[in-house]
Amino acid sequence: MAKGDFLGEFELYVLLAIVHCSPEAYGLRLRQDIETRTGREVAIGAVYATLGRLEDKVMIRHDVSTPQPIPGGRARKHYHLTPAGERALGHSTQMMRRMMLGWPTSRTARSRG
Amino acid sequence: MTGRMARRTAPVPPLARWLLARAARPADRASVLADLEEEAATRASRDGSKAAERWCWRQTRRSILPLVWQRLARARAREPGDATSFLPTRLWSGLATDVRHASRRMRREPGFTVVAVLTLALGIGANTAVFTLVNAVMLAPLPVPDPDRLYRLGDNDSCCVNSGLLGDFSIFSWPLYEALRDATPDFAALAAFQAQPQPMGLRAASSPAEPVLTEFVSPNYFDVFNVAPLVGRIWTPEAAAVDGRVPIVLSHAAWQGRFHADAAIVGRSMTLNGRPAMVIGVMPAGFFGDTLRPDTAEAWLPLTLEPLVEGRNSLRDTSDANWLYVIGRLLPDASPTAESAKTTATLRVWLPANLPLTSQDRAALPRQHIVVTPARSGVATLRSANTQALFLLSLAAGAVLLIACANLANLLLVRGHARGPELALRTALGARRSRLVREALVDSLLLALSGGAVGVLMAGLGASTLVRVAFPGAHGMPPASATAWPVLAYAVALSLVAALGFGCLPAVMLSRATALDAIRGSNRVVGDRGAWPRRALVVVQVALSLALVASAGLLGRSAYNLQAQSFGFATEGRVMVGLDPSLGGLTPDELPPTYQRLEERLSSLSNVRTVSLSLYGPMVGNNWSSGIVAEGRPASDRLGSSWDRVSARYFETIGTRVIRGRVFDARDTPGAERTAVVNERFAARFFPGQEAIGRHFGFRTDEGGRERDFTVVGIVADAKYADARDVAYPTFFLPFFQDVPFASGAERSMQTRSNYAGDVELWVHLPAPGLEGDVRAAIASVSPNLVVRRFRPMGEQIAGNFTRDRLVTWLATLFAGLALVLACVGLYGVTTYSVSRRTRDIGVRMALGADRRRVISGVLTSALVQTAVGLIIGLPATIGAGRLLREQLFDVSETDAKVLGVSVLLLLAATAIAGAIPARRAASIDPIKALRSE
Repeated sequence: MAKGDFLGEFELYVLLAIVHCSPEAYGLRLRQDIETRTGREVAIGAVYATLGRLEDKVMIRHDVSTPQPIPGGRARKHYHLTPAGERALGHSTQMMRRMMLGWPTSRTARSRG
Repeated sequence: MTGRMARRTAPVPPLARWLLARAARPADRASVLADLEEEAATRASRDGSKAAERWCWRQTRRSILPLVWQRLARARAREPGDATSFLPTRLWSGLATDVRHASRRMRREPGFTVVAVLTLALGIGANTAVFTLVNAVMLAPLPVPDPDRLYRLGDNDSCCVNSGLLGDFSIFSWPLYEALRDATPDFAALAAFQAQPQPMGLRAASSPAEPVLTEFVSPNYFDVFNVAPLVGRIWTPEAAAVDGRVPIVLSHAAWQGRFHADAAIVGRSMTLNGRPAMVIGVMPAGFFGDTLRPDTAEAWLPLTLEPLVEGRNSLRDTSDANWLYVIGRLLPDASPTAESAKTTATLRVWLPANLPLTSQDRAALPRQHIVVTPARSGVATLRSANTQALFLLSLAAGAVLLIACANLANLLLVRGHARGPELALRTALGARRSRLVREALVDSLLLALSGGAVGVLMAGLGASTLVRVAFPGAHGMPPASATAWPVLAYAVALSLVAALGFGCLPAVMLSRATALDAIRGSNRVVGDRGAWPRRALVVVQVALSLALVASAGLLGRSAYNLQAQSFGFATEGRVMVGLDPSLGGLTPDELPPTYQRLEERLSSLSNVRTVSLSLYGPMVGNNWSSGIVAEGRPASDRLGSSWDRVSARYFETIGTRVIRGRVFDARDTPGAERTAVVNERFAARFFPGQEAIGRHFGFRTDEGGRERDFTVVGIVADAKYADARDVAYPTFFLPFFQDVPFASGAERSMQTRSNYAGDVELWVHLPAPGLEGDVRAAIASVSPNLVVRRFRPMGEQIAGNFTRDRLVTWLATLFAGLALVLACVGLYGVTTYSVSRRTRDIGVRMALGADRRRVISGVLTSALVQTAVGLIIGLPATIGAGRLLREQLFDVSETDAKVLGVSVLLLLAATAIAGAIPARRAASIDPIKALRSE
C-alpha cells in the first residue's frame, strides 16, 4: 500500500462525517457534525482544504445540487465517497479497531473528560 | 444578485471575507464564503451579532493557514491552473526558483562567491563594528528594568563642581536637590549622585590601602534604577552610619577584582580614607551605575554621610557648590515637559532664597532653567565626547562599503557578460526583461545576505577589541556585543541596501541582452558595451580610496605630531606617581611632615635623581584655574589663569626650563613672603611689556585689594598641562603651605584642598629596574593609608591622553588599507576581464607585428587612465574629507601637500601593479591560439 493511501486523523473525521450526513453532506453540515461530535471548534478552511485533498486522492467526489428554492438560494456541493474512499475508510477504521483491541474504552472516555 | 446582496446582512466583516476569498482556491471560494455567511446568520440570530462577528474572525484566522497550505501543496504537485494566484503573480511565481537558481550559481562558482562574499563581509563588517561601538556608547539603554521611565534634570555635562548661576542647570547642590526632590511628586524617586567618581583609599584589615573609585549617591539611588543587591543589602532611607562606620555598596567588578567574590566581605570592617567603614552589599554584575564611562564607580557611598567622610572638605551643605547630577524615575502618566516647568519654577524660587545674589544675578534669574531630558542611557558624558570621532569613523566605514559595492557591481557585470549568450538566448525565446532583472537582484540579495552574515561574525570578533583599544584600562566598561539586536538589524538593513547598491546597475545592464547578441556570440567584440560602466566603477573606487588614504595619512601625521610635540617638559627618565588626593585622610597639620618624609624616602632610593610633589603634574587631566587681580591692572579686567602648587625641585624634576629669576627653595616657608613662579604666557598676559619679576598679583575674590598677595620671583618656560592641542595656558605656581588669610570660608577651603598633593614626580637614572616596587614600598612606609593610584613613565602618561586619536587613526588606516586593496582588486578584475575579452583582437594585432611592449603599454595605459581620472575626481573629495577632519587635526593642514602627494603616489603604484599583471598576461598571448579560440 502506497504511503499516500493512509488517512490522516482529520481526513478520517471528514470521511466519517460525509457518511453520517449523507445525502446532505455539504461543507457547513460537515463542519458542524465534526464540531458536535469532537467537541472542538473546527475551521471552515480546514474542512475545505481536507475536502480538496480527498478529492485529489479520488476518495470523494461531489455533485452540485439545484439551487435552494428561496431568494438568493444557492447551489451546494454535496460530497459522496467513491469506492476508493470507502475502501480507505474501511481499511483505516479496521486498522484502528485492531489497534484498539485491549484498550479499555472507559479509559479513553476518562481522559477525554 | 441584488437579492443576495440584500440578504447579506449577516455580520461577516468585509476584511474577513476578503482574506478568505484570497486564501481559498477558486473552486471552493463561493462555497466557503456561503457557508460562513449562512452559519454567521444563524449565530447572529441566536447569540447576537457581536458574538457572530467574533466567531467569523476566529474561523477566518484558523482557516487561512490550512487553505494556503493546501494550495501550496497543490502548486508543488504542479497542478495546472491553480498555482499561487492569491499572491501578485509576477512577484511570486518563480521567486523560489530564482532563489534556488541563485544559490546553485553561488555553489557552482565558488571562486566568485568567496571573493564576493568576502568583499561584502569586509564592507558590512567594518560598518557593523563601528555601529557596535555607536550602539554601545550612544544608543544602548542602561541595563536596568524599564529604562525608558528614567529622566534626568538637565541636559548638559558641566562636571565637576560649579558655583553661581549656571543658566541651564544640569548640576546641583545637595540643598537644591532636596528642594527639587520635594517639589516633584511625579517622580517615583529622584536620586542625586556625584558627577565624577573620585578615588579613595580602601583598606581591608592589614593590607595597604588600594585606590577605589567611589561615588557619593543619595540613599534612594538604587531604588531609582530599580536594582537589588546581589549580596547583602542596600541602605535604609536614612543611610545612617553603622556603629560609626560608613556603609559601602560595592560594584560587582570591584567585588570580584579586589575581594575575589568573597561573600564574607559583607559586614567586615575596613577603612575608607582612614575612616572606619564596612561593606554592606554588592550590586549584581552588569550594573555600572548612572553613566557609561571607561572608569565606572566601584563603590557607592551615601551622600548623607559625605560630611563624615570628607570632614572639612565636605560639599554637602554648601548651597553654592553644584556637584551632583540628578536622575529620577518618572511616573507613567507624567510628562517631562510639565516637569521641566515645575522644576524650573522651584529653581527660580530657591535661588534667591539660598544664594547671595548680586543685582546682576537677579536680572539673570528669569533665564535660569532646568530641562528634563530622557536618561534611558544615563548621563551622556561618553556620548558627547565621542560623537565627532564616531561620526567620522562611520563615514570612513561607509566609504569602504561603497567601494566594496562598486567592486561587487563590477564583478557581477563581468560575470553577467560571461552569461551573456545564455541571457541573450532567453531573451530571444521570450523571457521578460523584468524577469531577468529580478533574477539578477535575487543573486545580489543572496550574496549580500551571506556577506552580511560573515560581516557580523567579523564585527563580533572585532568589536570587543575595538572597545578595548578605544578605552584602555577601562575596568567597568560593559562588553560591546555585535549580537545585540539593534546591531543585527543594522547589519541586515545594510546588507539589503548594499544588495540594491551593487545589484541594480548590473541587473539593468544585463537585462538589455538582445537576441542579436545571441547570434553574434560572446567573444566577437566590436563595441564593448559593458566597458563604460565598469570603468566608471573603478574610477569611483579610486576616488574614494584616495580620500580614505589621504584622511588616514592626515590623522596619522596629526597623531604623531600630538605625541612628538614639545610639551615644555621632559619625558626621558621622568616618572609620574599619582596619589589619592585626600592622602588617606591626613589632616592639614599632618601634611608638612608627611611631605618631608616622602621626599626623603624617595630621594634615598637608588636611581632616583630628584623628587618633587605637586597638586597635579602635567597631562594628568587636572587643571585648577581662578580669576586673577594683578598689580597695575584695572579691577574690571576679568582675566583668569591656571595655577598649581609645587615643591622645591619641581621644575628641575619635570625638566621645565627656568627663564629668569629663581624657583622655590628653602626660603619659601609658610611664614615667609608669599612667592610665585609664573610661566611666560602668564607674564605676557598680566604684565605685558614689563619685567614680571618683583610684581604682585592675587586671587580675585569679593574681598578686594588682594593684588599684593603673591610676589613673582621667577619665570619658567610654557608647558602644556591640560590640552595637548591647545597652546599652554597662562599658569602660575605657588609653593605648598604659603597660605593667604582669606576671609571667606569657601576660599579658605579651596586653599586647604590645594595643599593636598595629587602627584609625585621622579627624575630617575635609566634603566631603573624594580623602581615601581621600591617607590610603592617607600610611600607605604611613610603612611600605610597613602594610596598610589598610578605609576607611569611620563611618556606613557602622555600617550594615555591620545588613545582616542590613536584609535581613530588606527581604524582610519585599516579602512584606507581595505579601500586600497578593494580598489586594486577592482582594477585588476576589470583589466583582466577586458584583456580576456580582447584576446582575439590582441592576437590579431600581434600576428600583424605588434610587439610585447606595445601590448603591455596599451593595457597598462588604459588601467592608468582610469586611475588618473579617479585621482582627479578624488582630489576634491579628499579636500572635503580633510575639511571634516579639521577639528581632529593637530599641526597639519587639511591640504597637507606631503600627505596628498604620498597618497596619490601610493594609489598610482598600487594600481600600476594591479594593471601590470593582466598586461603581462596579454603580452604572452599566443596569436595562433588566440585566433583559434572561437
